[in-house]
Amino acid sequence: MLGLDGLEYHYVEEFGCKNLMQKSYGMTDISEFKEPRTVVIWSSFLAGKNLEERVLKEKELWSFKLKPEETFFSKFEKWEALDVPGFTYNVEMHKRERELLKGFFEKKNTIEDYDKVALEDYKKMKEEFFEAIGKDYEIVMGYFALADVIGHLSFGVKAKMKLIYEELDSLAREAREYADDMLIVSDHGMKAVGRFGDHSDHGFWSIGRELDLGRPRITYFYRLIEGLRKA
Amino acid sequence: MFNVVIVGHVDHGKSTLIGRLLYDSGSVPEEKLKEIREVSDSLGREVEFSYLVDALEEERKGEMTIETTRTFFKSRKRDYSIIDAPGHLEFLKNMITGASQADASILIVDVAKGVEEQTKRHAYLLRLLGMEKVVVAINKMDLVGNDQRRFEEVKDDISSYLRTVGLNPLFVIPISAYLGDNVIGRSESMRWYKGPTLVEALDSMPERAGYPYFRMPVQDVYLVRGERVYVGNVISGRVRKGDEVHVTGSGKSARVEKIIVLDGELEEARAPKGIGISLDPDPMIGRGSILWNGKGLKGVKTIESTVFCTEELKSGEELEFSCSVQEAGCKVEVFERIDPISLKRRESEVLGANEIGRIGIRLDKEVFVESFKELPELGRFVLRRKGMIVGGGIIR
Ligand SMILES: Nc1nc2c(ncn2[C@@H]2O[C@H](COP(=O)(O)OP(=O)(O)OP(=O)(O)O)[C@@H](O)[C@H]2O)c(=O)[nH]1
Ligand SMILES: [Zn+2]
Repeated sequence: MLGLDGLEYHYVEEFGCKNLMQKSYGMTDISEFKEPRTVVIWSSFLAGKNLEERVLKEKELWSFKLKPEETFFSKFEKWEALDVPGFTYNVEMHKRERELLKGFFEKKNTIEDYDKVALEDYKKMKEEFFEAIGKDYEIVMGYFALADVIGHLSFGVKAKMKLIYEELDSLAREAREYADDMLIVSDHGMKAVGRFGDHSDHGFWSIGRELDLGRPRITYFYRLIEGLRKA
Repeated sequence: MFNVVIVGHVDHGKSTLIGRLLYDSGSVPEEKLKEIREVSDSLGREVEFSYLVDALEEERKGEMTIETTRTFFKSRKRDYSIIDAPGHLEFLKNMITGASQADASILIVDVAKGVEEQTKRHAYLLRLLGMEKVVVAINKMDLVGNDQRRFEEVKDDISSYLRTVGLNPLFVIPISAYLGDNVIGRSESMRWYKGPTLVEALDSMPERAGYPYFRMPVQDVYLVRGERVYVGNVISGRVRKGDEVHVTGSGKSARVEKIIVLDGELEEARAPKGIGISLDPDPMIGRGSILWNGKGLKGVKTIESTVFCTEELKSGEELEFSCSVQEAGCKVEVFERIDPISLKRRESEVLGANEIGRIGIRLDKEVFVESFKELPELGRFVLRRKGMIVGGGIIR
């Protein structure tokens, strides 16, 4: 499973990312949330129910952590969840990205400094991910923040975003080779605000089989994953 | 500034070519390029040129009011502005309403796919718009192993189609927009080609000679210290204090008393320039007249023209006609419909939205026009129904 933060449906189509689209793809409906917040949506995805209120009670949003038994992972015997917000998120690593984001607007660092860290973190996670899917887990979920992180300062710079989406597309292609089935989900997409990017009001899903899901809510996937496990 | 419009069938490589022109001419802002290059280096991926165009357009969003977008690049010889229309409808609408004015055009053809439907349609539209300086870029030469025979085949095809619509391409150039072959720099892989590169070809074209005679459509009249000042753009020629000028529609003539600009007065003004003029004796005219001298300005009450419709148009309809500042009521008669691909003409009393045809226009008063080729501002007109554009055309 690939959790691709901030992956935008419209760019996936425009850039023709066949491996991200897989056999069936579409948008998710996240209108039940007051705001498209990353931790809120991923937590709800994992738990199969809307956790907005509960997550927002947390003082430090990014530190919110579900217990394994609250997530669909508990349905599996051997599982791995890498860097998943609301669950196994690496708070320290991502803190650096957020500082540099703030730093850019305070003119302390450049967009390049910011992008560089985002790319480094991405590559590190990619390595860990491929190591994990080489092992005999029943299910592996890799979370990649790249599209969202780069998108925040550059969603309107298409030449750059195209590179990012191509990279994620080849990530999906390689990952698919290891798996019987693959689900790709994003919490929300993005929309351009000048050169920058803001969260959009829909997410993205795709799966490697013919399946017409229409525009499912993010909590729907809990049941889908459970079903796949039984099959 | 030399304005170039790029047209061609979808996917034949317009955006890639524009990206390449920007990139190879060093016209992409350095910072942006660096930022994009760092990501591409880090991921080990190549930047796609067609998307560089967006990186630039975004900078100019503020200036964009119409559907076409412009990007700019510099050659060793001069500054270019590239007009890129998302589709031929927008392009045509803009050309006809005067939003864009091209000095030359590039028709791009994918060498592997050859001449396709839109290639023909666009070529026909170029002709309709009186664009005579056409360069054909046969693109994606890398896909056919830079094969000269295939190039000649496509070249013959497109040249013969262009001839049937009455266009004669100035150059037909084999390029690879993707690799940059024969765009700015000469290609090592097509030594058989001896002609100019695309930019050399553009550079060799003379700027459009300005129309020499003074023409100034009056846009507005202001009262400045009790004196009536006529405001508008000098669209051609020049005017000096003391010159005698004529006023269309009134049969009157007068002397130029003052030429007024924002920060004072001028002895002389040359096109293109927005000015105010006071005249003696004051002809007491309003918006819609044209001040002129030199070669006589032609007044007409009927016009026959090929038009492009954005809405349905029927014989016998009464519409509003405008050409520059001039407005009149008119009655139209549709003669025939023209298929832009087969060029077949069929008698018809109706033109549908997005169709082309020949019509006659009977005006309820005289308007003053020039041929589009000589003075585009007075050579194109727009037809409206209750203020909404229905179609437009140019005057030959
Ligand atoms: N091999 C090769 N591919 C090219 C070349 N030029 C363009 N392409 C490819 O052709 C495809 C279409 O190119 P675009 O530049 O997007 O085409 P376009 O005419 O602008 O298309 P629209 O923007 O959809 O009107 C892209 O995948 C390009 O990478 C070329 O010289 N060689
Ligand atoms: Zn975000």
